[in-house]
This record gives sequence, structure tokens and C-alpha cells, in this order.
Amino acid sequence: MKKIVTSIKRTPMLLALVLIALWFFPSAIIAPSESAVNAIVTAVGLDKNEQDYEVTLMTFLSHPNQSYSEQYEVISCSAPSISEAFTNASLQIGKNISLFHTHTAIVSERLLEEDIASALDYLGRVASLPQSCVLISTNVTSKQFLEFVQELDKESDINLEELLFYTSNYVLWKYTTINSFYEGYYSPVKASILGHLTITQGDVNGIPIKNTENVVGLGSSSGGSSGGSESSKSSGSQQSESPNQTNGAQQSGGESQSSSSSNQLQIVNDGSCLLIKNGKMQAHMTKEQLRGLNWLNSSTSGAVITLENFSDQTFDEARLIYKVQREQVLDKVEFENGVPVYTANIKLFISLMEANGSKEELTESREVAYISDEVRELIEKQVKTEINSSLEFLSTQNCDTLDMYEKFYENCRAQTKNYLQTHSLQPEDFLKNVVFKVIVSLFPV
Amino acid sequence: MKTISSRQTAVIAGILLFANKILVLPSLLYEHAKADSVFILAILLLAEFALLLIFFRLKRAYPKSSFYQIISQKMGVFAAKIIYFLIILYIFYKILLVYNISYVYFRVQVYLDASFYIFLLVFLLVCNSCVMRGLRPLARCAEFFFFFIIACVVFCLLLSIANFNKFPIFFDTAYSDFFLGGFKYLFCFGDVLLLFLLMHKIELDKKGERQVVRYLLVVSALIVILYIMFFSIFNHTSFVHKNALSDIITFSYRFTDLGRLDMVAIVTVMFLSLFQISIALYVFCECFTQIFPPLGKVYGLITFDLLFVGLTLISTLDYLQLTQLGTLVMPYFAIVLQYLLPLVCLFFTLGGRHEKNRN
Amino acid sequence: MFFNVEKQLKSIKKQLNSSSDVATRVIQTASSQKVGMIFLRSMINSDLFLNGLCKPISESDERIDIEKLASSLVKTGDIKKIDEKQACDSVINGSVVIIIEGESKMLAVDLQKYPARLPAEPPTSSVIQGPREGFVEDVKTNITLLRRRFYTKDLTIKELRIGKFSQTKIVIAYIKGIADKKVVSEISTRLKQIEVDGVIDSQYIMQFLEKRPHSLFKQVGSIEKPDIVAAKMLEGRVAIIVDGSPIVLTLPFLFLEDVQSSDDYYNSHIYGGFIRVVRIIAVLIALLLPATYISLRIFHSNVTPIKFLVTITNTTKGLPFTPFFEMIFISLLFQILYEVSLRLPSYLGLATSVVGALILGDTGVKAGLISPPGVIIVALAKIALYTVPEQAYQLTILQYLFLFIGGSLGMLGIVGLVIYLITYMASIDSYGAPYLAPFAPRVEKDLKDAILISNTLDMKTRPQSFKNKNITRQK
Repeated sequence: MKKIVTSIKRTPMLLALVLIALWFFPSAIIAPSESAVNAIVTAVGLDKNEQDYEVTLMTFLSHPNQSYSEQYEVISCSAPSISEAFTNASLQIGKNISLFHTHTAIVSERLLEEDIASALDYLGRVASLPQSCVLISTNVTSKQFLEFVQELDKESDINLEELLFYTSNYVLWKYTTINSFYEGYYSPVKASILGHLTITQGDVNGIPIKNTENVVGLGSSSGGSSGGSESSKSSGSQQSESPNQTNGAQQSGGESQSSSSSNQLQIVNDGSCLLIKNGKMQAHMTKEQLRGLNWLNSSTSGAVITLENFSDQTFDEARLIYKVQREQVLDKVEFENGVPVYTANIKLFISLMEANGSKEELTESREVAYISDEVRELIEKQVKTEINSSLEFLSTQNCDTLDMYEKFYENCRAQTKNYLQTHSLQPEDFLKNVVFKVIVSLFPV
Repeated sequence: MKTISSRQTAVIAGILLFANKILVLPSLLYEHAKADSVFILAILLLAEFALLLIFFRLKRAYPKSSFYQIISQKMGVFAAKIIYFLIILYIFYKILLVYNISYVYFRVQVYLDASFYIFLLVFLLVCNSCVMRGLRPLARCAEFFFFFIIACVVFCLLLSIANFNKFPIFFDTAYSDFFLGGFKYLFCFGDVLLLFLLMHKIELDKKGERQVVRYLLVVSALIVILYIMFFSIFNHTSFVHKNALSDIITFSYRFTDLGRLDMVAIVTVMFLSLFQISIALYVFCECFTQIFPPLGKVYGLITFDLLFVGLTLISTLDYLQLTQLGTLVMPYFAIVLQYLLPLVCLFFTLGGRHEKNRN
Repeated sequence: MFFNVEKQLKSIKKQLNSSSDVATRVIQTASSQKVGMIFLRSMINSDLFLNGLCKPISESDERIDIEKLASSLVKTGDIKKIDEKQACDSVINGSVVIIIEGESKMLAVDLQKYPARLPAEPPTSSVIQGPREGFVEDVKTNITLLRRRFYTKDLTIKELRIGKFSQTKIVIAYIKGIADKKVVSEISTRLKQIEVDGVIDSQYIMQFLEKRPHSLFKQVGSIEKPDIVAAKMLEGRVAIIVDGSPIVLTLPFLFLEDVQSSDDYYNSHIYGGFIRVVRIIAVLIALLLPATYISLRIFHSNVTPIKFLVTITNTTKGLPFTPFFEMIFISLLFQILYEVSLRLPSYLGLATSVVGALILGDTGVKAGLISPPGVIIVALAKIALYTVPEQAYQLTILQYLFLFIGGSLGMLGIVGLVIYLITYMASIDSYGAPYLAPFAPRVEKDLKDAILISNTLDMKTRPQSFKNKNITRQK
């Protein structure tokens, strides 16, 4: 005993080590790997039917092998609240749900009919869903969407992550994440944009999948209630959900049952998005409308401008396609005679990508930097038209996703406050009253 | 007596300056002063520099004396003991706060199902052993890791540039909210006070003073940049994000095979919190031995451990409750101990009847 | 009192416990004078004994006296006049003690000879370019190797004997104008205070010289090459050479020293710096990789990159062991293989390594007993240990300690242990040198030879991390 006391006195850390050894070592020895007790969820979908919330999880399930391969299973559970649905999902698979690796959250349009802020808030707070997680909406139920994506992943090399990454970077020019949703939600104008992916069939430019049997409610041969996947079976009552419950999928789902193999279901990334106001869906925004807004975003590039039936000294009835290599927007906010005026000076650095129907001057028509006065005029007109159309749409929907109010508030604070007071306006109504002046200048690259 | 060099003093001051500021505070301040929290931060950081100048003056006037000796000589032993008792309480609260903030942070970010005792054990063991080794080894260790810590913070800030959204709207807070915000969270500042309490163990010359100021300027700049980046990235959702240093990295939607790069921030906070608690605990023990001279450092440690373990096990306070509780009482402690006491000390140096002149 | 040769020889032999290798010889000269010799048969050079000693004595026509004999022995080593009391010690040290009839003093003639190997490149300090000589077990040779590098009177060599029974020769070597006097005297005092039965190797006195002998960390430099010792002595360090050991100790010792290699200086300083950075990374990998891996698996799967997590989860699915147990199992397996390959004869050791690496590892993975990531992590960490061979044993212990803490407490435990260890190391003082210098405390001037190496032209001052005289090294 004396020896032990002496050795502890000499090296007190020995005691600490013994303490750790006695206290934690046994539990460490028997502790399983965290990934074995947690279900790693990479995508989460939220739906709502009449009474219940339905949570769908795309979960990584391990399969013993010596190589890298990701195999996912779609699991869904429903309950009156999201937390209960998560608890049910945990019970169902016998693992804790870990949302730390979740990169995508999908909400159905149906769910967007009500404020989704509280639902997402739960996920963020309790289930540790990263705020950087991409948030998108879909026309079908999120469960159907994830099942479709799972099939797509099996059949092709295209995966959801890469698709969304491209969309955010080159179509929306904006990341639509949970945080960006909240940022709009908590802003004075209470508006934000949400990415949108559609599953549909017909003559559209999408990525088809051959095997749609496992996609509940959309399956070409299975019909609504006879979904085939193991995971789908486990989702219990939700399998009986009719495809009619969805908005956009109503026709597509119904038609798909009788469709031929050539008329496959497709995931369509057409660049459209949703306008969200007060946490609810306000309107669909088409690709063209989005493009109109993106002209005011200086970080965009790569847009293509097409001039049909173009004639000048070089071309005759030609089709010219220009690509915007770089864009620069110099904006100015000011009050002119008490009216808010937004002036955007857009500088487009463009090059001619494709031309057919040239006259004889081949040398000139092959010039990438070809910008004649006619070209200049037409492009300017086209850009302005697109911008005006988009702004009109935003004004109609009362969605200030351009943050006009904040821009004016930041630069002309007193006048903006005064303007709102005198006109008895709310910040969200400010956009309607802004006068836009757009100047487009073209530069050859 | 084993003293620490001016560089080590600068490192200790730099590490202390990070305390309580880089995780929860930006979010808490935002609730009061929105983006103008940056100005609250800047003002209170300037106050730290003012305190530092007072410290230099005091150190020059009393190069060999301890802070306790100065105040007991000028105010009487009884008053000195009461002041030191208050300081002990204040430091204890600060340690509790740093521990709780770090605990919640680690729990949320990296330890999902870990036992609560892991945190308690690691913090107590490491900090106790550091204190037992003495100030010099502790300062040397801090010196060893300081550039690593700074590099990690810079790395986090550089990564966050990719997530930069837009500059927040400044000067948009009412004066009352601005000052209330600043007042409420005064206790998250003023860590230079600990240098006063260690002044007899610090070797400082003119060059050394400049070095301390230089180091603190770098750290202050990093903290200010962190706040600006934080508000620029999160804008209206700033109040939701309670882990500033991590969140500015993980905010971004990036597909990367590197995984979560906030591990850098997590390791940085681990180092910072362990150092901050160790230094504060060392000062706690120093103060304890001044109040109870016959009892040594070991008794101070035992007292702290018992109090700390007891409070942590019995109370169910989390850091938010602790902060809210702190906002009621601690600002007054902060005003008296952090700002008034050094000012009084500045007055002592004005008379000319100080140690240096006597010598 | 004049000696009676036979009687005296008997007496000395008796004092030497009549050991079987004690030989005596009595030669009668031409003048009928008796000359007795006593020596250890195993310790002397027999050729020299016969030709250099016996022959001149036996052929001597005149009466021999001690002075004459001493001056006539030209082929032998040192010759000392000794008295009766010193006779035993002289014999033990390999001298032939000569007793001349009618003389009151004896003569000790050094004819010591024992098997010794030639200086060769030591296995742990091989260099690509640079001197390949290594120290040997013979202290004289080792001193010669040092002397060859310093043709100066300032090279000071002091000799001590330590060990009650071994009476081992210990040599303290330093350069007078550079080494700090206080450090030299402190080392001498410590050495003189050593009371042990014997010093078999320099490692025996290492712990007597350490300020914290119970510490895991090595506090005395151990070097096998004279060029490195010479360089260290030029910096102001003191070398301690122990007879019978090819390892020379140097003091004061800094932790950084073992990370430095002589190769760093014999190549371009840029490459030297790069290699040193690689070595530091390797040390960090050796210490922290298994611990980090295990903590990621047990505690922090949420921060593990998803692709990595998928690989780990797939490859560990169905293993019979828990993650911690698996890591300990693989680590021990590696340690056993290492130990076996070290102890076995080289031809068998190679076979064992192959069996270990290929058969056990591969079959273990295929049989589903261990996972490929686990094997890779442990193998990498174990190999990385040997980038700093001088610290390999301590790093091995630390590796297990980190593994143990990482598995029990996770990342916070690892960081805590790092802080604990660095604080501990920062508190170690090696004869006035802070152990972690030039990093903690930061010694600005010495950073030029810390992680990166400056050009030789810029190394104008001697290290300031420890005490030495005459700061300027070159102008």
C-alpha cells in the first residue's frame, strides 16, 4: 500500500490513468463503432398527408465488402409529428438516426402549402441536420422522389448530389439551403427561393429510369399500393397513399400506370424554382423568369442568348447563339423625386458560339467576337424584356427575392423609412414601388 | 521565483482574449444589437487595450510586487481579501461558462452519445495537471501551440470567405439596445484582469510591452473579422447559430470528399478552452493562496474541483441558462473588478510614491 | 623493503583470488637476477609480451634495476612505477606487473589487448552522403575518433572510473572554449556520485544523468557516430564516452535533437528542411493516427468524411471484434512480429516478417478477423515510428497511450493528452536547457535549425537554447 501511495505521489498522472482505465477502458473495449449503431442518412424527405407527417430517409446500409460501394435504402415512417416519425424510423431500423451527413432535404409541394419553418427547425435543432443541407421541393411526394433517386442511382452514374450541385452553380446561381430558406424567412421581406425538381413523363428533357416498379405510386406496373421494395413494405400505412395526393404527379403518376416502356418516368431539372413567402409556397418560377432575375446577378455567367431569323450585312435569316462569358453588374439605388429608383448597368462579355445562315464573308461570320449594331440592339432588347418580365412576376407575387428593400434601406435609410411611412407600406411591399432602370452594354470577348 | 517571458505573457493574453467570444457570443449579441454587435465588440476590445496600458503602468511602477501586495498596501489587508474573494467568484463563473459553452459545443458537434463524465474528467485532469506543473510550463505549452491555434483560426476565416454572402446592415440598432447588449455581456470581456493577478510572475520590458500589444492586436483583428464574416454569412439567421467558428465553415453547401472541415474549428476550440480554463484555474489558485496564505496551491485546486464537480453534477444549468443568469449579476462584477479596480490602481501609480521611485 | 619475487607473486595472485587466467612467470637473467611477472592471460598481447618484454629481460647481461628496465622497454605501452597496493588494479587493467628482485617498487607495463571491432557504419544512423564511421566498444578508439576531428588543445578529455566491480572507464569530453563550465562540473559531479556495481553500457548511467529519471522521455542524447558528437561538441555540448559501449552520451539534450539527422546537414539545406518536416509529420502520424482513427470510429462518425465512413463501415461489417479491440489486436500483432524479427537470426527474421506481413495480415483480412483500414492505419503508424529511430521506444509507448486515450475519451482526450505531455515536457530542464527549446520557450535565433534548416552561411551563432560560451560560430 505504501509503495502504491509513494508511486502515486511521485506520478499523480498514474492515478488518472488508473481512473481512466477502470472507468472508461471497459466501456471502450466493448463499444461498437458509432456507424454500426447509427443509421447514416444522406437525404431526408418530408411529406404530409391529411393528418400525419411522413419522414422518408435515404439511409446508407453497410454490406460487407472490401471495396468502396454505397448502397442506400429508402425508409419511411409517419406520425402526427415529425419527432414521432423520426422515433418510429429509429425503432423500425433499430438504429439511431444520424443526420450529420445529410446533404439534401426534400419537401413536397403539398407540405409547402403550410409553413415549413417549424418542421425544418425541429430537424435543425434536435436531429442536427446541417444548415448547409440543400433544400429542394418536388412535385411528387418526397418519398416517391427519393425512391426514384435511389433507382436512378442504381441504374446510372448520375446522382442527386451532383445534379443539385450543378443546378445551384450554373442554373440558380444560388445555393438553396436550409439556411438560405431561413434567411429569407427571417428577413423583413420574408421571401426566398427554393430549388425544384420534377418527376414526370412525356416528351421532356429529363433523365429516365427503366425500373419504376419500386417507386411507390409512380411505378408503371406496380400501381399505388403494391410497392415492391423491402423498405417500402416497411413503411406500413403510407404505401396505400394514392398518387392523387400529390399535385404535380397527379397526371404523371396516373398516366404512368398505363404508359408504354418508351414513356418512362423522368427526373426533370429544368431550372425552375419555387417562390416561398412566409415559409409557404407562393408560386412556381419558370426557367425563363429565373433567367430574367439572374441578369441582375453579377456572379452568373454561361447564359446563352439566341437570336432567331437574324439578318444584317453578314447574316441572312440566321440563327445566332451567343454565350455570356462574364457578366458585370454595377447597380445604384437612389430616390428620385421621392421615388425609389434602381439602376442596373449590366455589362455582358459575350462571344458568338454558333451561327448558321451566313452570307459569303466567311471570315467575318466565323469571328467569335462578332457584335454588329443589330446584334447589340436585339440582345439589349431581349435582356431587358426578360428582366422586366421577371420583375413584374416578382411584384405580382409580392416576393422581394432580390432584396430590394434591404438594398435601399442600407443605402438610403432615412428616405426608405420615410417612403414606407408616407405610403403606409410594409417592407415586403417595397419591390412593387421600385422603378427599375436597366442599361445593357455588350463587349466582345 | 519562476517567471514567464514577455512573449509568453503575450501568448497567454492572446489566448485569454479568445475566451467566450468565438462561439456563442456573436449570436447572443446579435439578438440585442444585430450587426452592430461588431461595434460593441470593437469598443470592448479597445477597453481591453486600455486595461493593458494600465497594467503596463502598474507593472512599471511596481515591478516586483504582486497585485495583492499593492492593493493590500494601499487599501488594507481586509479590503484586499474581499476583493480577491470577489475575483475568485468571478473567475469561477468564467471557468464555468467556458466549460459549459465548450461542453455543449463538443456535445453537439462531435460527441453524440458520449458520457458527460468524459468532458468533466478530461477538463479536470488536464487543467489540474497544468496548474500543478506551474505557470512557466503552462505558458511554454501555450507558446508551443499559439501559432497553431492562430493558423487554425485564420484557416477557418479563409474558408469562410467562400461563404461570404453580403455585408450586414450596420448602424441599425437603437442606442438603448446597443448599450444594453454591451453591458449584459461585459463579463465575456476583460480577461486582461488575469494579467494583473499574475503580474509578479511576469517579466516585462518596453520591448516586451510592445510585443504583448502586437499579439493582442492580431487576436483582436481576428475576432473582429470573425464577427464581420459571421454576420455577413448569416445575416438574419445569426441568432440561430451558436457555434460561430464552426458554423462559418459548415454553412456552405459544398460537395467535398474532405468531409466536415469544421474539425479544424473543433480542435482549435478544444485547445483554446483547455488553455483558458488552465490559466484561469492557475489564477484562481493564486488568489486562493493569497486569501488563505497557509494553504497552498493544492488546497486551492481541491476547493475548485469540489465546487466545480459539485455544481456541475447537481445543477442542471446549461450554458444559455448560465449566460442568462450571468447577465443579471456578472455585469456588475465586471464593472467593479475589470474596470474600476484597474482604474483605482492607475490612481496608485500617479502619486509617485511607488516601489520604483522608492528603489 | 626489497621484494622476494616468488613470495610477492603469490601474494598478488592470492589477492586476485587465484583466478585461473592469472599467470605468473619468473625469469632469471644472465646475471642470475630474478624478475617476476604477473598478468591476466586473457587481457594482454602475448606477442608483445614475449618479444617486447620477456626477450629484453632474459637477454639482459647486466643487473636490472627498475629505471633501466623502464627505459629499455621500447615496444610496450605505458609504463608506470607502482607500489604493492596498486599491483592488483594494474593487473586487472591488462598490465603486466613486473617485480624485480632487490627493488622496492614494481613496474606496470601496459600490454592490454582484447578483441575489438573496427569502426563501421552503425545500423541506426546510416547516411546517404557523409562520414560512415561509427563508435566502437573500445574507449581508446572512440577518443581517437573524436581527436581526429579536433586538432586543438581545447578538446578536453577527463577520465573517471565508475562501478564498484566493473570500474568502467568513463570519459568526459568537451571543448574548453565552448562548453559551459557549470554544465561540465555538474555532469562530473553527477557522474562521481554514481554508486553502482557496474556499468556495462552507457545506457546504465543515462538515468543517473537525467533530471527526471522516472520520465518516459529521454533526456540524454545517445549517438553512435563521431561526426555527430563532434558537431554537438562544437555547439557546446559535453560528450560522455563509456568503455565497452559504442553509444556516446551528450548533454544538454533537447527533444528536437532526435528529429535532426546528420543527413540533413550533408545535403542541400532545402532538402534537409523538407525531410525534417516529413520526419515531424511521420512522428505525428505515428502518435496520432491510430488514436484519431479509433476515436473517429467510436465517437465521431459524424465528422468522418462520408466516403471514408462508407469504406470503413463496409469493410468492418461482420468483424468479430469491437473497433478498439481490433486496433489493440492489430497493434500487438505488429509488435510481436517486430520483436520476433528483431530477435531471430536474420534469415529467419526475414521469413517471419514476410509471414507476418503477407500471411497474417492478408489472411486475417480475408478471414474477416481484422479490417483492411485497421491494418493500413496500424502499419503506417508503426512504420512511421522508425523515421526517428532514437525515439522509437518512447514513441511506441506513447502510441499505445494515445490509442488507449483515443478509444476511451475520443478527440478531446487526445487533445488533453497532447497538452498534458507538452506541459510536462516544457517543465523538463536538461542542464539549464528547456527541453522543448527552441519552440517553448521560443528561441528565435535557434529556429534557423529547428524545423527548416538555414544555409550554413547563415548559421553564424551557436545555439542559444542551452548554456555555452562564445556565441559566435563563424564570421
